[in-house]
Amino acid sequence: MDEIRELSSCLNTFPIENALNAEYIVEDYDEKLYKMVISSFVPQKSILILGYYFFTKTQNNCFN
Amino acid sequence: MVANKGNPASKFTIGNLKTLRDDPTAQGINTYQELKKFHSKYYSSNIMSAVVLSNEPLSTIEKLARDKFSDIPNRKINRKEINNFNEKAYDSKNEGVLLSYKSSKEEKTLQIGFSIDSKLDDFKKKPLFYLSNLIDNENPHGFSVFMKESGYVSGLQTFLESQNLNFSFFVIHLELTEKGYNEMNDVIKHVFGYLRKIEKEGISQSRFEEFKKIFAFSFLYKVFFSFNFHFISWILGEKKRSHG
Repeated sequence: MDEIRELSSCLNTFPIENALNAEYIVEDYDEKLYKMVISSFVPQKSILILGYYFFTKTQNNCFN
Repeated sequence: MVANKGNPASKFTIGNLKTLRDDPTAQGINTYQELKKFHSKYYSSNIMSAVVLSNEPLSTIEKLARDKFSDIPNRKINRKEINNFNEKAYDSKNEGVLLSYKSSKEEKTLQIGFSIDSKLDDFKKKPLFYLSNLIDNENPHGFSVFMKESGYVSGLQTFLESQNLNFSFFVIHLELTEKGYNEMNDVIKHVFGYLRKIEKEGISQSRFEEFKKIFAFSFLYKVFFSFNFHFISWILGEKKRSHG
């Protein structure tokens, strides 16, 4: 992986810096962000898509 | 297709003779010339990424990269500027709705989608992957197992359907059983009930550390066993995110 970084740093004309960090980047824990995102997952902000092969009835709108 | 018409998210990413030839011609637009104009304006190295994978020596790979890519001009395109559209993809006009379709194959699926502000800039924090892991993990006491054991679903997955500078679209995908289909409102209540539970008591640093280790291991596994086109494509996606 160091070799890949080395190659990246010498390609100036077409910048491929940090082309491959040798890890899957999950670095910063951010409780506030996670809570903010999950709090936006509410019925009024959702889009429900129902797929069914044998449609025989009209589904009720679950938000009523 | 649900997205607002003033946003490209409402359009197909491919076309046909009607959309690419007949409709533009009727409006006096030459599709080929428009495509060339787009290419000469936006084909710019500063908004491209490249990943090269080979078993050749580095010097050979470097030469190949220089030969193939150095001529690409840098037009200094502002990535955020080209993603500035007249209308948000999703808002109160198209949210809070239930859409139904008759599928072409035998299935009963329910997808619950959420459009939120783009989380590309938060790629190091991975908020949607973190939440995804809480929702669809196979922990014996987890939500996914509960839904299966209750007979509502035969499968439950979460995924990011879209992630761009405009918005992120997160989906909870449920393979409904006959019971799940007949009691769909209960299924939906359980899903939203669980989301509220996560909000109140599910976010913790210890879970994050566990999640981080799982993905680090997963990455290593991919590195050693999946050196192929899909791997490169995935890395490229990660790199695009890191550039915002």
